[in-house]
Amino acid sequence: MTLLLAESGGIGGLFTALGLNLQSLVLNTLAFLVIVAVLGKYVYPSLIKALDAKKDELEAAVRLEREAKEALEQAGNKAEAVVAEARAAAGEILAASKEAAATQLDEARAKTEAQAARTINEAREQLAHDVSDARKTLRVETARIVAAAAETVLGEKLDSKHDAELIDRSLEIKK
Amino acid sequence: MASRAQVAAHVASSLTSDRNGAMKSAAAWLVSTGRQRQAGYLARDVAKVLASRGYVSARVTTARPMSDETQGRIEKFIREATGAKELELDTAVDPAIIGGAQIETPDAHLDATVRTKLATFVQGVSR
Repeated sequence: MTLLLAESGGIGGLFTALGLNLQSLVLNTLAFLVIVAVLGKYVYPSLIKALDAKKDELEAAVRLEREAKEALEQAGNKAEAVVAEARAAAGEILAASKEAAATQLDEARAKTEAQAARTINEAREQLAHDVSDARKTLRVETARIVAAAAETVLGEKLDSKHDAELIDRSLEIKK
Repeated sequence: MASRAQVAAHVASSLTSDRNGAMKSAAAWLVSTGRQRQAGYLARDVAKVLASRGYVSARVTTARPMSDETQGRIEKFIREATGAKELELDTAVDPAIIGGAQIETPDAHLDATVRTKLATFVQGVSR
């Protein structure tokens, strides 16, 4: 720069050497500063404010997302715990049910066997009773038939002479 | 009030001397005491009293008419069994008894019929 100033014969010479108009440069610089000042006073604050708001929104969204993720993770964990607990309870219930079913089955089997034995015994007793009754009935009916036959035969064959002998024998026995 | 036994004794006592009076007395007692239904029992009681005094009435049932010989044996049997001085025998024929005889006195009953013997046989088998 020093070399360039020296070679161009001062600042004016330098601007000239660079093809710049010093006056125009100053004006442009002032205009630039004015624009920067205006922008810094009126535009940047609202812009930064909007960006901050956007940033806050994004951070809030991120935070919500993280919270939601955590809540989801917690819910998942809780659901897994509930499912595990339910599975354990279901297993216990199933085991208890199986045990109860087995017990009931054993009881029912024992009861059925006892009932069957009782029924068989009753049937045997009833059968024996029926056979006894049938035999007795047969015996009585046979006796009745024999008596009826005897009545018929005696009624036809018993004449006065034999009847008188029968009466005599009866009187002798009763004496 | 006289009992039936007392009335029977009175009727039995007066029956030989005053038959109609005895019958009237018995009928009056039955009606006055309202025991008309006991006429049969009274007649039986009178017969018992008479039997105890030697006057026996008996009923003999046979399957066919008896010969005089058989009836005589039956009368003899009844006299010996009851000690009857006088015997009034009422005979009846009932073919249903098949054979034998049935003798009824005021104090005793003898059933020597074939029908009863067969019935006894059936009863014995039934037990």
